[in-house]
Amino acid sequence: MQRWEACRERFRAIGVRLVAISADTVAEAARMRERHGFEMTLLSDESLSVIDLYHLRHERNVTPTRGLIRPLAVPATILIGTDGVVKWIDRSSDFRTRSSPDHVLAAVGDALADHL
Amino acid sequence: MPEFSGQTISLIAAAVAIGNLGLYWLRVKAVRLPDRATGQQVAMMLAGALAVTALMNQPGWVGGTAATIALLLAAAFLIMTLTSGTPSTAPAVEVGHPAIDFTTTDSQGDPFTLSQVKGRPVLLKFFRGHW
Repeated sequence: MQRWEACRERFRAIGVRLVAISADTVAEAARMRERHGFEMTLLSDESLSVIDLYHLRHERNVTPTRGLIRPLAVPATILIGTDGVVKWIDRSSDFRTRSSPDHVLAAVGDALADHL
Repeated sequence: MPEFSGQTISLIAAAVAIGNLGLYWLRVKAVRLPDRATGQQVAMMLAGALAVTALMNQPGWVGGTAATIALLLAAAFLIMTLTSGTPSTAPAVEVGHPAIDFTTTDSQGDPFTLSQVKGRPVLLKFFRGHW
């Protein structure tokens, strides 16, 4: 997420607001925000209700600090236009890998240009 | 059929394991991971089997070290890839369809509703968070 925060200005330059959501508690999200100096919007979905709403629950995760099996969100990035319509989706096939901000910036730029 | 020494087999095992890991790393960097890493998992099983075979054939300290490295890399790769695959279900939204509205809490404890974000596109990023 640090790489994303570093690219926040570039996303802002193309008019996009970054909103990140995870199964973290509010306190954990706040700690992450403070520790890394995040200015993007960080959301807490401790109950996984939003993650389930989007069918993005990954049930079996081996996590180093929070027990062997913990449900988390499948890494995914969804671009939503000002009209509330989904313009682009990127979903990871592996929870350890995420698309790089550069890759997403290019794709988002193309998606927004296509829908103008 | 040529007969390979334990050391030769262990070096082959290490080469297969390290090469396979390097290929996987390149794919991660290029964001080009396939949905299933079956081919690479099979390659790692082969590296592991070769390493075990080498260890049973007196590979010497060089071969023993190479075989151990190959075995550890193969085991780590298989554990990581076999437990990290994500569900094959498609997201509940599609391009061209409305995003699903939701309300949740932000890191400052304030409510956040997706539909109340006005004026500019939103890049909604689902991530694993603290783990």
